[in-house]
Amino acid sequence: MIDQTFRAESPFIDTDLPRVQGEDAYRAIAQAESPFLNEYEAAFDDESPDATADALAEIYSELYDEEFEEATQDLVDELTEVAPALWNSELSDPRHLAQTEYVLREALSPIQSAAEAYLDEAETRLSAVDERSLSPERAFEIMNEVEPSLAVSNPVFEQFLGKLIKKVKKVAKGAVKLAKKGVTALASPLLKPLLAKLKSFVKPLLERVLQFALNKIPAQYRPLAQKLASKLQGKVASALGAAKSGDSARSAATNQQTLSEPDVSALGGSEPSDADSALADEPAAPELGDVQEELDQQLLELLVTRDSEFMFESSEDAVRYEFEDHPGVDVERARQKFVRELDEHIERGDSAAPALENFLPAVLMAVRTGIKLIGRPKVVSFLGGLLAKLIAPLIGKHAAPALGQMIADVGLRTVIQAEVGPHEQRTSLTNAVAATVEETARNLAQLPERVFESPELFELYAMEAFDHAAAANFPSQLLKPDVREFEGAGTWLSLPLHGRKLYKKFSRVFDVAIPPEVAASLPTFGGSSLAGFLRDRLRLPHGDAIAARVHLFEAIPNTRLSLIARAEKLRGLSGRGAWAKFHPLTPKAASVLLRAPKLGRELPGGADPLRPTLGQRYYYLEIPDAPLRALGADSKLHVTANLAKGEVRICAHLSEALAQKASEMLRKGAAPSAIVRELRSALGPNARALTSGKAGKKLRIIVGPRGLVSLPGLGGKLQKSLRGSLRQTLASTAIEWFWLALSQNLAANAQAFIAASEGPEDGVRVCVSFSNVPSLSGLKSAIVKGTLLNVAWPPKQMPAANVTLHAGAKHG
Amino acid sequence: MADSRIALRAQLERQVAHWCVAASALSDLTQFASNAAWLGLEQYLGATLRGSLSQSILRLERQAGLVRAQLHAAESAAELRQLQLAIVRLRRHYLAVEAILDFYGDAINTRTNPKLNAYLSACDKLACASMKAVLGPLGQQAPPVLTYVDKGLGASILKAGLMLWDGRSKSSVAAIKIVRHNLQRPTSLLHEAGHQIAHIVGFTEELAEALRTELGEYDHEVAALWAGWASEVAADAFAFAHSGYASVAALHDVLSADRSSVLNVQALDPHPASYLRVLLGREMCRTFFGAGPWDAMARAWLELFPLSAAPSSTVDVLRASTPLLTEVVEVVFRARYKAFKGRSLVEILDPERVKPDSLFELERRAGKALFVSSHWIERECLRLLALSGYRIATEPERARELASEQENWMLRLGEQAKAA
Repeated sequence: MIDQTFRAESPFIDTDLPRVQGEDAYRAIAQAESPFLNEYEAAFDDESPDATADALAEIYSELYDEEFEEATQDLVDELTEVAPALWNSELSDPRHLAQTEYVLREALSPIQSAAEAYLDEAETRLSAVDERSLSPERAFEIMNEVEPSLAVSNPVFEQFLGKLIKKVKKVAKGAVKLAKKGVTALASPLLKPLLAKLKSFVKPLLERVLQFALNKIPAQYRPLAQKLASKLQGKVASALGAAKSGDSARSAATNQQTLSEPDVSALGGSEPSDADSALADEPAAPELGDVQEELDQQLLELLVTRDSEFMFESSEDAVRYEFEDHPGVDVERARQKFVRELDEHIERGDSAAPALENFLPAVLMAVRTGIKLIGRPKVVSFLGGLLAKLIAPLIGKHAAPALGQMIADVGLRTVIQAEVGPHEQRTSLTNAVAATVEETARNLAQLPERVFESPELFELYAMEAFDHAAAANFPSQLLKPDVREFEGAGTWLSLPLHGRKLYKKFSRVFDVAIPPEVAASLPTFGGSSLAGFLRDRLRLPHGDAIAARVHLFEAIPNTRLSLIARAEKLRGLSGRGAWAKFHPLTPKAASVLLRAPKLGRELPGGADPLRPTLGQRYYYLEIPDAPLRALGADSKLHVTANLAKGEVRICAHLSEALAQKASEMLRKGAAPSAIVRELRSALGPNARALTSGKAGKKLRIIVGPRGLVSLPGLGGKLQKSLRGSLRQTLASTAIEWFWLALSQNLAANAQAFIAASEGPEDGVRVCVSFSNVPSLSGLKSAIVKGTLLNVAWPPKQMPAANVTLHAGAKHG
Repeated sequence: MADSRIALRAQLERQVAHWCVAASALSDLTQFASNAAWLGLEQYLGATLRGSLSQSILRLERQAGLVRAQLHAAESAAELRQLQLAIVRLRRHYLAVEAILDFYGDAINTRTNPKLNAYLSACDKLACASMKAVLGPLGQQAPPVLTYVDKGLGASILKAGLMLWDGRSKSSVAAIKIVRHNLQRPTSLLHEAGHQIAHIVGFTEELAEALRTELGEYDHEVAALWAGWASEVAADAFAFAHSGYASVAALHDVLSADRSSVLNVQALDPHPASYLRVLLGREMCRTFFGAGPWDAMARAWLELFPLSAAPSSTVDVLRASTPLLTEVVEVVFRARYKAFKGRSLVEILDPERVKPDSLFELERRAGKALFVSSHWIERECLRLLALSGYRIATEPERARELASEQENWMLRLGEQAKAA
């Protein structure tokens, strides 16, 4: 039985919470200056058309490759396999760290050699032609003729090298394009010096990947937009700002550096302290997307500064970093120390406040918004005192053993499937307390600053945050019914049990049968549905209920889904791309799969499995009948609108199952409308994600060089909302046109679709592009300015469409 | 006396040490099949097999440890003499485990190159899929399959769940031998997998009883013979239900031997007389598909092997059985069995799916993608086998082209199976 001195405010049953009294009102302090730029600040207000910026923006946009990030993630996972000790210890021993770095660098060296050899060969071949008469396409062709050659047989290395070289080819093509447009001098040789410079990018890039694998980030890390503002020349900056301003794929990384402040309109509302949304954009680990983002910007910069205007002494200097541990590593160290101190506290029976005073700053330092609280020592001190009182009954000398046993019985024992000794029991308790404190502090850091001004208000939110955190770390039996996430035996555990904590797992695994209609109703990453995942990637028969075991996970500092896959060793979670088999545990998913909606967390728009965010929850389906590895690619839908050029392009990848279904219907003479209806139904979740602002990288809107100007009287939020609405309107129209154009194409040339589906490639890629789209300039103006639309949209008639069909999932 | 005891102990100690070392050495499974061959197996199959073989070796090592302990404990000459028997038992156990490891090692080593490895992985997949199609609806798990290639005329199976040579270990996978000449016509896989299905659900015993009862109304002696052939009849039925005429034609080509063999009936042979077996296959085709090339096949068969050429000892049985073939097909396919949870075989595995018209319809639906699309190959691998087999049986002039097509889609299936 738990200490009877607990009081009613605690989330724990039969607990008695000591009240916090007599605190002075906080001293008002100046708002901390955010080091981050707003999403749209990087844009320019230059209203004049600018061909250079247009051209650069176009190249920049083309350089982006969604699969590059996946290839980088796979490479990082491969490095983790090369040095498995990487995640089993803290690498605190410098010699061990140095050894590991050496091993990884050696492992990566074949990629460097192959990339450099490729560039040498391409340089030789291009030297043999007169570059004055070289078209961008021909340059691309010549570079395509060079075959990269890796000294080792490794599909992951090959994939990464392929993606890197693809980028290099695009840069070369872009250089010729710029020269032809007169943006840069049409010098001969043009490409030779460029390729020579590109060679110097390879090593730093691989070093960046290596350090990423070691969970390190560049020292003195600053948001890209800020760095660019100080470093880049006008035209490049303009192009970047323009290209990024409407491009959700490009702005994904910078968006996450944007400081947003939730609005608290009324007390008692759950918004500010609700973990569902508060940590929605707080990355759990270094972000892979940055690697590509930075590389692309550096490459773009290289295009216009090849000659005499170099900002840097050498290209390599421009891309070289000093690295330091990701903040998550510091939190882990601080947590381990805090757990040890809690353990000692249980023995001694004194206050945990000193330990909290050390721990809280480390937690707050690791979240972007933590600076708001760290800048208010009085608030932190108040929080420390409050938390010390809240956790005191849990770690009392008498209550701790019983609590530890209960937590271990519900959690630890189910994981290790063995009896748990007193030491492990106590560790279970101290870990749960530490996690509760950590999550409480992290959630509080998301609150708007004015909450910190009022001790009463802050206490209220602190209590609420503690309730949430306790519910996410203690078994239900210990919690009051209204706080519980789950009715039954089960609790969240920080894992692995020994060494660096990488994720949390719910101790209970659920056996479920998932009917097809339920799978169809559950969204997963990339705008797809669970049904789409089961059909396209696992190729499970459609129409059958799927028997599965559901494993639940939560992201904490240092979490990457590939690390969970590696640590869990569950059937189907081995090998490359295992991270793509996790799905977001939304309240709906938790409700229909587990009948426990509170176990779910809302899925933020554009959520990305490669960028877990703190507190986000995931599930993995262990399916006995499923193949161990994914057999095919997802069906996808992308919309790219280049408003500057008046172009809209929609590309769909129809998975092999869908492509064969469509071909089968065509052979049977089905009406195109019936086929499109079938495809629309299958891609419905993807389309809904695009038109509801949850498309992430799948919706790209390039607005051109003109900036985003605030209009008097319109607040930022309203502008953002209007822009969002306009983007969705555009996406909605584009998708409607896509289906209409596809239907017309199938009616006119069914055989072309059938032919595209008849090869061994995985599915069919359908791209529909529309040029000279009427009213697009009006739409652009409205999106740029965040105003209401003052042109007729959509146009009365669909513009002329150009439909292309390609076999396979890969981009051409 | 003491000297002789010392001498005896020394001999025993040397032998025990020898067998202990030998037993430990077995644990390196790459002695029996190369590491690459092990890695070439589909992950689940490899893990299952390694696990069960390691258990066999562990049991042997435990016995070796026990004998060593007994030797240490033995004091009297009588106890030492007794130990000699324990060493003999240990040696016998060692040889049995070695035989197990040799068998599986040889089987795995037949995957001599990546191409054959992929091809045999496809065979694993086909056999497994054929079992899942029956066992799945019955709530039973299909065991992993290890196909290996060997010389000879006919296929065979070492069923999963059977006791192995050491008398202690059970086979964890279904090991199916496919003969080299039939690699491009592997419907015999389905026959062998049928044996495994029948073993798991207990179909053979029920079918034997049903044949004895139903045919007994016509002729008790013939009924008893057919009851004894139940296991092979059941396996033929599964192969037919999965691949239609392809399996019948392939069986015909294997059984087509000299008259004395074809018209022979051997007591205690679980296989029906070849003469009757081919005609039974034709009867299955006629019952479910109507008229077709199987009729010409049967006419030629009867011409080649007239009953007038049968030895007097078998002619009566063959003559009495021939008109009962329709009844046999009815009993096998349409009677309901506890093994099938009260359903008939046709309700679980309808041969209608592999009727030539159904196969041609599949070909029309999928077009050229049928043999190259991973979707169709994965989803319809059994019917692809039926279709390829049908074409090979009916279009011998395209034999080489069809064999190549068959090989290509099988290789794709094998690559997919390994990736999965």
